[in-house]
Amino acid sequence: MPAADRTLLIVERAYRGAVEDQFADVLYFVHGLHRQSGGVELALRGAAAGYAVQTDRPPALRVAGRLLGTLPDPRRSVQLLLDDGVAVWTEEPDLLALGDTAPARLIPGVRCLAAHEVAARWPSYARVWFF
Amino acid sequence: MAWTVPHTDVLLKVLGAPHQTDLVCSLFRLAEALVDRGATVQVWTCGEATGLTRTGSGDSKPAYRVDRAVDYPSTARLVRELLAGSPGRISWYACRFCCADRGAAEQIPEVRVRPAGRFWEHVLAADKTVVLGVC
Repeated sequence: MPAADRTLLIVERAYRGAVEDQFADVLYFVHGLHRQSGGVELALRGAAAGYAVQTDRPPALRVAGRLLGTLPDPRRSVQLLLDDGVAVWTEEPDLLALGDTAPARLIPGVRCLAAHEVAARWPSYARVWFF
Repeated sequence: MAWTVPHTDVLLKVLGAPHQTDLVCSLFRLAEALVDRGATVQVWTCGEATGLTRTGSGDSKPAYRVDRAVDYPSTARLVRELLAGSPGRISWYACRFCCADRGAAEQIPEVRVRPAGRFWEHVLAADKTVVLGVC
């Protein structure tokens, strides 16, 4: 798909309800829209930039003795998006806000731009949606 | 004899909405940890949080198209399991006004729906009230 026909989805709010969402988190809908539309790109900003940083999985939630192992795994979801051809962008200040080591732990394939460079790319998209 | 609110060590008053933050995850972790430590707990939900135990949620989330074999429990089922796992130690109440106002009038039977005007009885029946989120 030509870049001029593509949609940029911007995710800024992260961790919106692990128990309620489980598999159906925002990245699930990004994936669905990617398949429907023929191609989207994804910008992870603010706290959502953490979705692109490799880290240990948080401990599973236990409810009445049941280990709830179906909570969202955003790093795995980002990898699935990359595997399906979604371009994923972050900006360096958002990564550094997560710690000095965050840029080095970026999931391979996720691209890191300097501050404000994602916004500078907006005119090249047909649509820019906050998601 | 008229029913009165059973005394508990803690009242967790949930005002924040699901699907916005990880507040509900914190609610489950907190409730589980309190019960594990021997405390008695009551939960009161207001606003969109009343939807956590709406009957229409069913037992499971809609199927995940990538792997339909995996069962993803609804919050209503998790609450039911939480209550069944510690009988007499934890109870769950939902505000009647908020249930009606937010489309959650049909609640699972394990939840006791209470008039909004009776909320203070629950505060008085708990040694400590913890408020989670805002409406």
